[in-house]
Parts: sequence; C-alpha cells; structure tokens
Amino acid sequence: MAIHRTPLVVGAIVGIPLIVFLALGFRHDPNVIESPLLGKPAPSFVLRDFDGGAVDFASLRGQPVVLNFWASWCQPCVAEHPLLVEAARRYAGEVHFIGVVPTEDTADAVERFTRHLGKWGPAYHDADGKVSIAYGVFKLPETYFVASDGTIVHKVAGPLDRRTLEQSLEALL
Amino acid sequence: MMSHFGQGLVLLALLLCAIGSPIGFAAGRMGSERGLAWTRRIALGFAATMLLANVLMEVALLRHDFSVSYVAQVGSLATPPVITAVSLWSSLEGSILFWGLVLGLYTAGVAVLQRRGHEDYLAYTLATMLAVGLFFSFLIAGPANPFAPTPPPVPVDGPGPNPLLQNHVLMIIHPPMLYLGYVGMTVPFAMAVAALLRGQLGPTWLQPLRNWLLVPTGFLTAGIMLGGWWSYEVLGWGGYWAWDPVENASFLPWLTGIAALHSAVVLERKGTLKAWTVVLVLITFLLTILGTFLTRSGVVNSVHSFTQSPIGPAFLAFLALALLFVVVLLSLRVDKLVGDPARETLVAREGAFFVNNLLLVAVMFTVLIGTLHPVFAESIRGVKVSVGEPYFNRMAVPLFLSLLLLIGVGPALPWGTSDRRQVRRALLAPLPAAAAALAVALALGARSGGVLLTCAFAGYALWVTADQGSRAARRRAKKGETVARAARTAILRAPRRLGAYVVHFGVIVTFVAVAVSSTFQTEREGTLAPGQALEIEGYALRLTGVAGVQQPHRFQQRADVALFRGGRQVGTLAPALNIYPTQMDPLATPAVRTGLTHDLYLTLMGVGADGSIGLRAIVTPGVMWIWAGVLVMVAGTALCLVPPRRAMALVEAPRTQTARAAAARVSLGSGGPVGAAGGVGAAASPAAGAPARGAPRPRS
Amino acid sequence: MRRAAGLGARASRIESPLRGVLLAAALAVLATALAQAQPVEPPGVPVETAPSAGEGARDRPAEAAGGDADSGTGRVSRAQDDFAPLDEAELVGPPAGPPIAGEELESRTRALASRMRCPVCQGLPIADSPSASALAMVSQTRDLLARGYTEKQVLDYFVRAYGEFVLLEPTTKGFNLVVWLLPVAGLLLGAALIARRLRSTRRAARSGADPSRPDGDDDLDPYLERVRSEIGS
Repeated sequence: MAIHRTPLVVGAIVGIPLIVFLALGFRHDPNVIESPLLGKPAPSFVLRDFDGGAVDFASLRGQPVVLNFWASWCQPCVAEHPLLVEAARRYAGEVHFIGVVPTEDTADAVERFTRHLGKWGPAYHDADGKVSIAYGVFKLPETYFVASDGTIVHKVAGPLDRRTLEQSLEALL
Repeated sequence: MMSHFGQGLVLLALLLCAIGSPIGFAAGRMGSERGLAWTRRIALGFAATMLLANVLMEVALLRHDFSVSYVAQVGSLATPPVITAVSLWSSLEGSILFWGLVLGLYTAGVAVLQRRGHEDYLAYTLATMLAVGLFFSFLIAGPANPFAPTPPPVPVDGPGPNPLLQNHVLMIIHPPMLYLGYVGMTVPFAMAVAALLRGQLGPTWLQPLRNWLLVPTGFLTAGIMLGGWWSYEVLGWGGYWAWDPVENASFLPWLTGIAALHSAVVLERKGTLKAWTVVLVLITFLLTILGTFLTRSGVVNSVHSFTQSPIGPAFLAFLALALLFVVVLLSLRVDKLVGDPARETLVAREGAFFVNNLLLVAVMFTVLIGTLHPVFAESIRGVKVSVGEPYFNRMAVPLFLSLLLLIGVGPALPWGTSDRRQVRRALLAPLPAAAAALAVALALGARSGGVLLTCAFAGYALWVTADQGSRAARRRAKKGETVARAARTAILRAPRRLGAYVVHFGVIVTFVAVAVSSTFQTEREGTLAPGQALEIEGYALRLTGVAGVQQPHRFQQRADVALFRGGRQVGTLAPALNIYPTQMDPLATPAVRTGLTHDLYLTLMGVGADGSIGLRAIVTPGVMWIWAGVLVMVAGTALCLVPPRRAMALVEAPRTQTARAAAARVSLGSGGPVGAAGGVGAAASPAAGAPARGAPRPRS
Repeated sequence: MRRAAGLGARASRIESPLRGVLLAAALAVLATALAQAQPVEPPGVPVETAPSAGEGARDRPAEAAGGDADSGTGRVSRAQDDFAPLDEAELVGPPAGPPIAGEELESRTRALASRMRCPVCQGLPIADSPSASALAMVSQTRDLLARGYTEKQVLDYFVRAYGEFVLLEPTTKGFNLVVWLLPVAGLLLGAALIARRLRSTRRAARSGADPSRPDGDDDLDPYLERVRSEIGS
C-alpha cells in the first residue's frame, strides 16, 4: 500500500504543536492574571473617606501597607472581612491597613457594612476609579501587600483565606 | 431510581456503539448485506436509547427530582416550566446528553434516509458515526454524567439555571440550532471517512454528502445568527458580535463547511478537487471538536463558556485521536482520490472557486490563530495576552470584502471557457450597478472607505446575483411563458442553483448591514432626573419613572422612558437592571426598539438614590437587515435541499444535445438512479462535458 | 507546429481571468487595509488643536493635594472638591503632546477605548461595556488624552497596571508576531499552491490536451451556447 507523505507531514506540523500547547493550557487558569506591578513601586495617591478624612499614600512609607480593594455589595468581601478585622487588630502599629471602595459605593452602604461586620480600617472612596485603575484592579476584592520601602510584594485576587493572609503579612515584616 | 435507569440507558448506548461500530467497519470491508442491515438496526437502537435517556432527563427536570445530580445543579422550584425544560442544555452535563440525542437523530436519519443512493458507503458511514457516538456515550457515562445520584442529603430546592440563560426567549432556540449544526458535521465527516476507506468517490457519495453538508451548515448559520441576536438583546452593550472564543468556535466549522460546499461544485462539474473536498470536510469536523474543547475545557475564558470541567482532557484526547486517524487515513488513501488534472484545464470560473476556497480557509485560519494565540502565548511567554475585536476586524475584514467581491465576480464568469472577450464582457457588465450603489452610498453620506467599498462590491454582486438567478426564468418568459409560470418552472427544475443565488443574496444583504451598522452607530450617555430628557438622532428620551420590582429569583429596577420624535410620543421603552443574589454586578437588560432603518437601544447604567438614572442610548442603522439577510441565507439553504422536478425535464429532454445534458444533470441532482449522470468521479466527468463537447467549436 | 503555437497562446490566455480575480482580491485586501490604517475622520467635525483652559485646570499634581498631609497618621483633612487622587506623570512621565478637547477628544477617546479590554466583562472593549470599571477606564482615558498624553502613553499607562491582557490587539513584538504574520503567511502559501497548480495544468495543456474545451454548459442554456459558438466562429 502506497503511503502518501504530504498528509503525514502537514498533520505533524499542525497537529503536534496544537495538541501539545492545548495540553499545556490546562496548567494555566485563564482567570488568574499575574499583576505586572509586583516588585514595582506602589502608585501613590490621595483619597478621602466618607467622614471627611483623607490619606496620602506616599506619607505611609516606612511601614508596610495592606491595601484592600473591596465593596459593600460584594459577596466574597463579606467572607474575607472577619480575617482582616482580626489581622488589623493583631498587627496594629506595625502594618497600615487601608481599604478602598469603588466609585459606586456610598457612605450609607459602607457604614451599614462595617456596622454589621466590624471595621478593620478606614475605607477611602475611589470616587473616579483612578486609583483602582492605577493598581490594575480586576474583580473585587483584591489585596496588595506593600513593603515598607513602597514596593508591591504580593497581590491576592479574590477573597483572602487565613493562610494566604498570614504568610503574606509575615513576608512583609 | 431515575438516576439508575438513566445510567443504564447511557451504558446501553455505549454498548450499542461499541458493538455497532466494528460491525459496520467489517460490513463495509466485506461488502456484507447482512452486516449493513445489522449496523442500521444498531444505529436506530442507539438513536432510540439516546432519545429515551433525554426524555428521562426532561421528566426528572420537570418533576424536580433533585436526587438526579444534574437536576440538583440546574433545577429550582421557582423557575418557570419552560425554562426548566430547556435547562437540559443550560449546563455542561445536560448539554453533552443533548449532544448525544442530536447525534443519535442524525445517525438514525442517515440510516433511514440514505438506505438507497448511498449503499456502497453506508456501512462505513454509520460505523464512523457510531464511533463518534461511542466517545460521547463514554462522556455521558463517565466524566460528564448527568444521571449521577445526588449525594445525600438530597436538597429540597436547587439554585436554578444560569441567570444569563434565563432572561430571553432566544435562549430556548439558539442552543438547539447550534447543536444541530455542530453535531450534524459528523455526517459529512463520516461520509468522507467512508470515501477514504472505500478509496473512491462516486455519484452516490457526492449527492448525499452535499445534502448532509447543507443541513448542518444551514442550522449553524441560523445558530450563529441567533447567538448574535441573543447577545444583542441580552448583554446590553449594543453589539451582536464580539469575536468571543465561543462565537469563534461556531464560526470556524461554518467557514470550512461553506468552502467544502463550493469545492464540491467543482468536484461535481470537473471531477477535480476530490482530495481537497474530502480534506475540507474532515477539517470541518475536527474544528467542531476543537471548538467544543475550547469552550468546555476552561482553557480559554469566555462569557458563555462553561467553567473548568473534567471533560477537557477527554475532549483533547479525542481530538488528538481523530486527528491521528484522519492523517493516517489520508496518507494511506489519498492517492486513490486524485482526479485527472492533466485532462482538465483551469478556466475562469473554476479559478473563482479556488479563490473562494483560499479566502474562506484564510479567514478560518486567521480566526483560529487569533483564538488560540492567548493559550499559546501563555505557554511560551507566561504572559496573558488578549486577541479581540480590533485584531479580528483588521485581519478578517479585508478577506470578507474580497469574498463579497467574489460573490459578484465568480458567478459572472462563464464555465468552461477563458475566452478573453467573453470574460471581459461578463465582468464589465455589472460595473454600472457597482457605480450606482457607490453613488447611493455617497448620497446617503457615507464617507468611510470600508463602507464605500462594501457598497460598490455589493452593488456589483447584487447585479450578478439577480442576473444569474433569474436567467432561466427570463429565458422561459422570452419563449412566451407567463412570468409567474416561467419563474415557477425555473425554480422547480433547478432549486439548488436558485437556492445558491438566494444564499448569495442573503450574504450581500448581511454584509452591507454589518458594514453600515458597525460604522454609523451613534451613542449618547447621560444622567437623567425624572422628567429630564436625553436627545439622540432626533429622539428625545424622557424619563417618566423608576420602579423596583421584587421577583422570586431576582430584584429588578426598571426605568420607564418615553420616546418623542418631532414633538410626538412614538413609544415607551423600559430598560432594566436585574440584581441576582448570586451575582456581584447587576445584569442589564436592554430595551430595544427595532425599526426598518435603525434600532434604538437603551441600557440602564445605574439608578441613583434620588430616582435619577444613568442611561446609555445607542442608535444603530440597519441591524434588522443583518437578521433578515441571515434568514434569507437559511431559506436559500433550504431551497438547495429541495429535489428538482425530474419528470418535466425528461419530457423535453431529447430535443437538443444541450437539453440532454440538462436532463443528465437534473437527474444527477435528484439523487435517483444515476447510471447516466455524470460530473462525479473518474468515469463520470466526461458525461457532463460530452454533449457540450459535441457542440460546434472551432479549432485552430 | 502552428497548432501547438496556437495552443500555447491560448493556454497563456487561460490563466489571465484567474489572475484578474486574484488581482482584484489582492486590491480589495490592500484597499481595506489602507482604509483601516488611516481612520477616516467623521465629516464635518471641526478639529480643535488649541488647548482648552478648562481642561488644563484638571491637570493638577497630586503632591499639591497631599501637601498638607499630617504625616503622623497619614491622614489629611480636605474640604476642597475636585482634587486629583494621583499623579499619572509619576508613572508614565509628562504628556508628550498638546492638550486636546471637544469632538477630537471624544472621537480619539472612543477609538482608543475600543482597543482596550474591559477587565470584568471578558472580551468586550471598555468602550462598549456598561460596567462601572469600564466606565472609569474610559473616563481615565479621556482625562489623559485631554491633558496631551499620546495614544501610546495612555496604552502604556494601562498596560503598566493590567499587563498586556488589557490590549485587545496584541503587540507586534516577539512571539506576538506569530498572530500577525502566520495568517498572512498562510494566505500567501495558499495563493502559491494555486499558482503552482495553475502552472502544472498549463504545462499539461501544452503537452497535448485541448485546453479550451468547453466542458459543460452554464445553466442548461441553449441560447448562451449558441452565442458562445457564434463568438467562437
């Protein structure tokens, strides 16, 4: 039986890389996107909270910062909230815990949220969304761990769990 | 109880495929009549088993039998019965079960309808289909088992299907259409495998192949269009096509399927392009499997795809196996399919078909590369990249425009001649139509190069399509028949030919509508307090009120907007935001006013505490004509499937040599006993040419 | 001899319509590529180049706002409205172009926003997405363009934070070249294959067969057939 070589050659050239790369694709979760900001200086910003207070991020340098982007309407934020309350109490004086809520959040909603679930730190209002953009926030909640020299050392997308939070905080100190 | 019965049925289907497929291959090899009869029976048995399993699942869904895991996953007591019934395909396991049903129906369809006219190939065809059925039965029995019993305690209520799938009626018909298209591509694949295994292509192969290629292509056309329409009516961003991986996945086999339909025409007429047609059909099937893998495995992310699932590796393994099988089969048998190119010569019309195939395959290749690139780039560079709308538009639009031009140029070229004067005359004749279309576009204010080119090409193509499509009827009318009668006879005699022109007409309409709608969209956004109005394109949109409605499964905020045009109220629209307890972001439900010339599309962006709203209004011209054009394409496809009226042709046949050729071709088209008919296969190709060759023709 | 020459002449004529089709297709490709490469300005849009005073006022460095910070707590009290929360110049440098405003700003914002991917809605450009984050990104885009940042600078600004993921059109560097060049290579390869087939059939035609044999009438049309034979004679 005569064997025609063209289909074998073309099939191998197209098929083998196709199958191999698709198989490699299983190793990546398409929903996990590594932040390009890791190891880079955290963008500094000035934001106000709903009570008339404000923060200048640049002035926090010298102490590590946990920067948490959350929202009052976000379900996973409810889940991670108690962990942050606990950590903020434990690391008081050592680490700044800063919260940022998005454009569409309101004073009432944030107040109601923290009254129910406890307060772990100030919630600054990212009124025009620029700070979330500067940090490359995808879906809430997201947490950035900033070292005392102002570089971002770690980012957690999605709700924190106890182990991740502990490890990240220890790495900061 | 239910779940045991269901699993039993699936195992029976698996068993039937496992037995039927080898029997079929053996019967094909030995040419055994009895083996073929058994294969047909088993194929029918497979279909019946799949039907029963699906009916059983429907019963479980409608009775809210939460002891069946799939029902516990997608069912909910609050969901209306119609939605409950269609949630069969709202999630992964159910959709694979439904896939099994469609595959079963196609297998039974081939076993029954191709009992005659495809005998030499039928055993192999059915055996291949059952082999594919074996894989899907395995999926349903194992990795994606919808009948698995729910681990105790059995819940009293479930979460209900995905909210996105609940809120539009199109979701009821869009997935079945897509499945009928996708799964249907198994039939031509099986026929191509049969041809390779037999090592020949005869008329009893080409005619059934074309029909079974037309059917899924038609369904796929409808399915893709309904998907676009759904995303337009539901997703709230004002567009209908975003080059999302799921959309691309349905688009890929459609492109190669159409390429195969065109190369089959050359195969029929000239006896060439045999291997190429077979390859296109094989690729089409592989692309349906690849597309399903992409959207079901969680390897690419997409709006509509099901999330990470265990069937990914199984699909990849099947794809690899199918690819290997196809490549080996081709390398062993392709030399038997080589036509007789030395005797045939390339002439203009065939050249147009070549270019058509080149362009369609190039579009497919581009879309494929673009869709896969993020997966490849991540493996190689470890970086997430996106390939989206701007890329696809930049790369594919020039190819599509060339295709539009070809719809005009191709049919204008005469068959079987390359005489320069003739070709030039044929190509120059439609130019006034192109100029007229260009003038109309300019007069209407179009200045964008893309739209002007589209209009000019469309005018050209429209002229050629109308001219060619009506030629037979006009000839009859000239002979004194009434116009109506001439048209009727022309349609009945050559429905496939006319169907093709109807499809071309639909394509032209769709192309123009897409170009116009994507270029001339206008958009306004604003915050409106009650009583205030937003103005866009001569409309004043006045907010009359905001209402919040608590529904069983969601909270809905609705804005009532009155539409004024020229000081008169012309209607009301009520865009809404739906807040589902399980969803973070509210889902916008747009409100659309569809018109002949343009659509007004309102999306509610947000509702303030003071009763003011954020409103986005989009006016898009010509959207309706996209849907209309696609419907025309589907209607044309259906027309292609109508068997030609043979008896009438035979009555007139013996008058001239040309008419005899006509009779031969018509009888070929009908798929009846085709002894005399030609155009197909090595022996056949002279038949089509013979009478014409006898026609007076000077030689140098 | 004469016969052979005639055949040769005819054979070369054979491919010319096909060449015409190919040429027309190539022209169409070229024309649309050009049309796309240079975005056509909508008719009747006055192009403003003069910087607008109102827009310039928005370009306020963040340091000014943070100047009165109480460094002990990191908190500042501010009553004044409309302050810039952060200084983009710190991240991408000063604007490389003149400030823009009006219709030009809107059309350029829209064009640029349709090249960036909405981070929460998958696959949609931010220009089309109704989600809050996409709206914020569009307004950030408008803001940067208004202050004179170039398209490239704005894209860089977003890529800095979101990675290449945010670009709906892959860059034309490194491995990404594959996605741009492979389709073109495929098209050229296909065209080459067709051309080769064309040549081989022409050779076959030269070597004896009658190349212009009309082999099948068009649409069962005796009239056309008659015309054809008349033209031939």
